Amino acid sequence: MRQTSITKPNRFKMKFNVSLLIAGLFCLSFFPSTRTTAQDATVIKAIADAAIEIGKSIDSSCDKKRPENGFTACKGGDCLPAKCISFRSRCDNGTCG
Amino acid sequence: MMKSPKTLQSKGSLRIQTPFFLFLLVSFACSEKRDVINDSAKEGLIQTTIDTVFVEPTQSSQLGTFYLKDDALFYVDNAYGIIEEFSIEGRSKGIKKRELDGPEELQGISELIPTKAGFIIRHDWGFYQYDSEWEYVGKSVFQSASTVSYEEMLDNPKGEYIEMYELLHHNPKTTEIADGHLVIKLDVEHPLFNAFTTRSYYRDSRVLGKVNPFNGMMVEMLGTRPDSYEEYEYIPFHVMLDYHWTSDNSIYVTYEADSLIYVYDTSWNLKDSFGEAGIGMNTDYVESQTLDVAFDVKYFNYARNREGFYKDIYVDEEEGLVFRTYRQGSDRQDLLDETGNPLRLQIYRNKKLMEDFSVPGRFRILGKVGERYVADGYYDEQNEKQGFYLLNLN
Repeated sequence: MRQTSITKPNRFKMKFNVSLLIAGLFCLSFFPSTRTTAQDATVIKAIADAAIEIGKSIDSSCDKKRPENGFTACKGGDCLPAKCISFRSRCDNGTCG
Repeated sequence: MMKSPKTLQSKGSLRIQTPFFLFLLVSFACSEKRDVINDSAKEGLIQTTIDTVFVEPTQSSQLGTFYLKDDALFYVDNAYGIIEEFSIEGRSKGIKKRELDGPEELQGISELIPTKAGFIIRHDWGFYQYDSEWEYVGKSVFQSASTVSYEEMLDNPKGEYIEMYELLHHNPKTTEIADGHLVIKLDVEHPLFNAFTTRSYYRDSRVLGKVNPFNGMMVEMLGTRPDSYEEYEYIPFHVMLDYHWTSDNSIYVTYEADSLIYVYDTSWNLKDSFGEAGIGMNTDYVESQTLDVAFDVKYFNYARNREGFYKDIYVDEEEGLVFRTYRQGSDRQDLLDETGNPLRLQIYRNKKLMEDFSVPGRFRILGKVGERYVADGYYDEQNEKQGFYLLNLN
């Protein structure tokens, strides 16, 4: 008896909570993600524009020529990232002489 | 009435002494050293003092940089790859990030970029995004789309070819602007389009870039150098600049070889310019005409240590103040790097120079907390001491 009297309100609460959860998820589904909502519309547009630009870019671009870890070149004694066209000497082994 | 130590001892009040000594210990641990370095109080314009707040990082090589987000300071130790947070009083709030610790496998830390959502760590050309609790969110790598063929870019480089540009390595500054993009300083080292041998570089090369942090793509380039760079043939080690992008989208820029401060809008239309030359600057620049100069560090060191140039800029929009530092140049031949080249700070109010005074060699204003300006940084490798500065204006 005692157990039943406690269980009933809990079941009601659970149902209510589940309903709230479903309603919340339904509302959230209108938003792509919480992170996206925090971004300005300009950034979203920029992302879309950038994606188009990537699509436009040709296969022989400088960035696409770089290996997985990128090009590196000696700058002031340090081995640092560089573009494929850099006039500096390469240091793909990670060290500058 | 003060009690003598003897009186305290005679009462055997260890309970009184212990908090007192603890208070003293904490006071000394976070002590501020005040250097009154402004000699212009007699002019009655702005009185300035600089306090040094010493910190004791958990692990430090004294090779690092401070960054400011709101009222929290973050010490980035580049050698150890550690980020530790400090209060404005210099108290540690713990290590927040270590390299190679986490799913992102961060390989090192080049720069810390405070953002609205949290933080971005830049390592070389990688942007690692974190939320405000330092939880890893995502990573992108700097890149730019092609606008012309590879052969065209190689043989006929032009300033507008976005795919040629790199992140500037020397004195970098990456900031987040209101629309969520990152602003970076640009560099280009094309064999036929560079600061060492190409005059058109000085007229046409772009100086800032806007990067989408979520995919690393540079979406826009901004600006060129002012006409003052026509006075020189090739001064490759003074082509750098610094900027401050204000909340109303005005871009304040100081160029190393130009005494003026330029104010642009986001389309790089010139809105204003003002500024006065620094005191006692050696601007008799040694010019170069061959690419060989790029490979011999002695030319770089000479330009940075011996010659004078304008350096960093910070704008206090509320107070209408502009802060700009410059190095005077030095005759000393034993300087290890440019931090030994004397540095001075100019303060402008409503475009009028109010103050011009000497500051420590690595002084760079990061932001404002309360009424005080926080600046990087004090580093003493020999004595293993470090800290940040608080600039007070009266």
